[in-house]
Amino acid sequence: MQVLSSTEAGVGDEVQRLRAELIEERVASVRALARATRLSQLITALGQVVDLTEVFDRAVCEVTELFGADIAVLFTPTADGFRPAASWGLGTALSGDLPLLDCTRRPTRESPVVAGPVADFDVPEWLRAYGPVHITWGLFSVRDEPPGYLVLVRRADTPFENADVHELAAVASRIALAVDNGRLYRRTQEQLQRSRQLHEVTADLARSVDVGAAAQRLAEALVEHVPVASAGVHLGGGVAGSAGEAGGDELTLSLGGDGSSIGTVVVTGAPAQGSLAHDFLEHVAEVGGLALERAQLFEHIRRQAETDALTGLPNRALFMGRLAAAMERCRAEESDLAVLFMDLDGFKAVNDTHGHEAGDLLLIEVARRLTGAVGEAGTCARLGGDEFVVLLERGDAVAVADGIRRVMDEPFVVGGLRLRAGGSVGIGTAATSGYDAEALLRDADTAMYAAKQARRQEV
Amino acid sequence: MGERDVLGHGSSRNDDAYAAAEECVRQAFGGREPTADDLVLVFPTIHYDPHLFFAAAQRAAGNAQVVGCTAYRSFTSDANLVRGAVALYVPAADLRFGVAIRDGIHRDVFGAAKDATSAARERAGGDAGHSVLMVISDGFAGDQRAVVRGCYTVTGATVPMIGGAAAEDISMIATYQYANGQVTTNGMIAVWINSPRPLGIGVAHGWHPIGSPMIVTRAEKNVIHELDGRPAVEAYFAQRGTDLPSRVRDGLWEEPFARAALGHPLGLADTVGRFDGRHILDRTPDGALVMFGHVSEHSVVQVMAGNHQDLLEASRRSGADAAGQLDGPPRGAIVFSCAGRAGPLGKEIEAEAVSVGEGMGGAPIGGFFTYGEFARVTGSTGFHNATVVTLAL
Repeated sequence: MQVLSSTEAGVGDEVQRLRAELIEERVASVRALARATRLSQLITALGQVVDLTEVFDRAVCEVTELFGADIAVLFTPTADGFRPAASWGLGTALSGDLPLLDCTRRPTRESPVVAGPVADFDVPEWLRAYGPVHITWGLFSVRDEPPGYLVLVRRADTPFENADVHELAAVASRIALAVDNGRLYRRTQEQLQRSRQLHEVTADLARSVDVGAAAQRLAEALVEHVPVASAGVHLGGGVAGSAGEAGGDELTLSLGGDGSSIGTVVVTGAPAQGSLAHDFLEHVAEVGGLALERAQLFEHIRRQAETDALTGLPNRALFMGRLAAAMERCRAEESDLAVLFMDLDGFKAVNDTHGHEAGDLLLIEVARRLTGAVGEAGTCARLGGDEFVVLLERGDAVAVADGIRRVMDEPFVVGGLRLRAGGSVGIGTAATSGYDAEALLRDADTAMYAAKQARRQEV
Repeated sequence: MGERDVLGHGSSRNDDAYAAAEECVRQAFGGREPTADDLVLVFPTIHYDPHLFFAAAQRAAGNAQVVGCTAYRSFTSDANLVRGAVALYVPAADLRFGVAIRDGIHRDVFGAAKDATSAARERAGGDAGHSVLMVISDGFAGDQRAVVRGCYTVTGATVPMIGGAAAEDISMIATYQYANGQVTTNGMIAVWINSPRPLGIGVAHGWHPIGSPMIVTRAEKNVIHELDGRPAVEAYFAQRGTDLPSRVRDGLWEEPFARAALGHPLGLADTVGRFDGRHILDRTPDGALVMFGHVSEHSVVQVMAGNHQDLLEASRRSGADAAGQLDGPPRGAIVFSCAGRAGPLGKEIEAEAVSVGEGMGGAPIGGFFTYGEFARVTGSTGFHNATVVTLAL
């Protein structure tokens, strides 16, 4: 019985030992598995964010949790020190340059992580306040830039193991990659934002058909969107548009992209060469040049459409437009206006005797004398052939008509010829025509014929 | 520390909200007159109208600051209630409390936790000596890890955190929280405690893993979609194996899934081979498991099981660890125990409070069964399930 119970005891111990071994093995396999997946967890977490600030914030938080640490601080280099770009476990955010810790064996690009008890490190005062017990210090480098550092702190007496150190090296390079991606993302976002702005500015400028307004909008867009301190748009020597308060260096850019510059834009406080903002400035100047060219072309075409090509006076279309607008005003104000209708008495004879060229030269001279006689009092226009009209919104119509007749009766010298033309002038008024532009023109025409008949009879 | 400063506790089984609140708070005072600096904690079960109950508790507590939440079960050193309410009276003595509450935290759990913690610290007059943050959150807040992270940005590594998630009777409908005169159902309470001497914190669970470890192959916040590449619910059931006959399994769909999963949480493995419990809140029609807290993709989990001996040993350890960190004899302890422990504890559930009390050397205790515990002393992870968390004062 004695032997048997001793055997039983032996078997019991063996079962206990095997059970303990089994549990230990299970724990070991779970540990191995948890370790093996730790890096993937971090990569997944970092993969969920792209903004650089979020990458830093997420990295310190996840690394602290995954490595059973209490504190993580990520330092990025500044001009003369290091700045905590993100921290976890410090409670209050530390800002500005902070002294890094030091030790005899600093992390290098070749051996990027060092770990050890706090005694191995020269710990700065701000970190000592948190009671660090074990520290790892990892280096991460983005391309050829000065390196940044990741500092992990455990406040419990649980040393960082070799496996931790190896994985932290992978973590550091992963953070560097995320930082690189984050910067790329930030730059892409900025470019996207710039191209959206450029689109808006282009669309805005393209709407301007008035050169002055387009020049002003271009100056304002440069100050608002680039931004520059001040902008002045110079076309043909004069300032066509300006915005902002001058400040900083002056920079002159040509308006128009293909060498056919239509002017310049002078800015102060331009962003640095090579920056996205500077590229944007050049794009806007180029687009602005095109928009201004377009506005100038539009003005030219409009002028052509409204002007009599031979004499440079407004043509029938423009005259009728102005007359209609003036009639509206008169009707509203219950005032009156007059239209003077003038026809040359001897134009057909000039054409028949001396040819069309002489006739054209005569018409140009007639237009010059007509505008001279009317002056600022009214708007002169050529309806066609030798028919001219004058819109008089104020002044004595009869006196103006007399003045016109007088200058027309004077002999003309054109192409070496001395010619007499003479002009008959008829007057119509808005009130008697019932504020109808067509009726008014007809009335003036009729009056002109009556005047012509009267002049013939006088002769 | 005099008699006046000992933690007081009271309980009531009265069905009337007003009478229950009045009775448990009065018992907790034990004839002492509360001051505005004192703290009263109340943990009613879900059976009362929360607005009536908390208002009555506040009236009964006079000037003292009242903080509380609904519970799965509540307990004190000498009461254990499936239906009823308990009150704990924490005389301020050398402690200073700052209380803050935030509502509607689902919009930004992290931000609300950070904000409430900052406000509570300010009300306590900033950090002083040995600070501890006590947190009570809505059990259905979703990502309880975000609560911890939000708090941690304010506390930092030097201020420990404890607390529990408000619970109910596993109907999985709503929990309630109360502080500063406000009742919330999706709220978060921060109580910043400043103490001139160290306070003690104990955390233990006593569960063990069963089956094989699995890798979370697809997850989003607190939803695990796949385990080992299979739909999570399917993989979970496979690991539970023979303890779940098909008849029972079919029946599970008829009741809140959390109830069926309560006895077998998932254990989240860390790199030193320990498991941190993660209870299952629900499952989705496409076979995903909804957890009480965040579970990261690629983390390692294993189904957990427990027996009452191991769990009670952990309860005793939680109490003893907490008491062991104090300079002198404990005034008492506030205990947060997981509702998920009810399964393996079975009939022994009332022994949980007794074991914590034994670990505390017989000091008065009180607390409630939660939908998740907060405990962070070292390391920055601090949300747990399936544990007993003890704050020794």
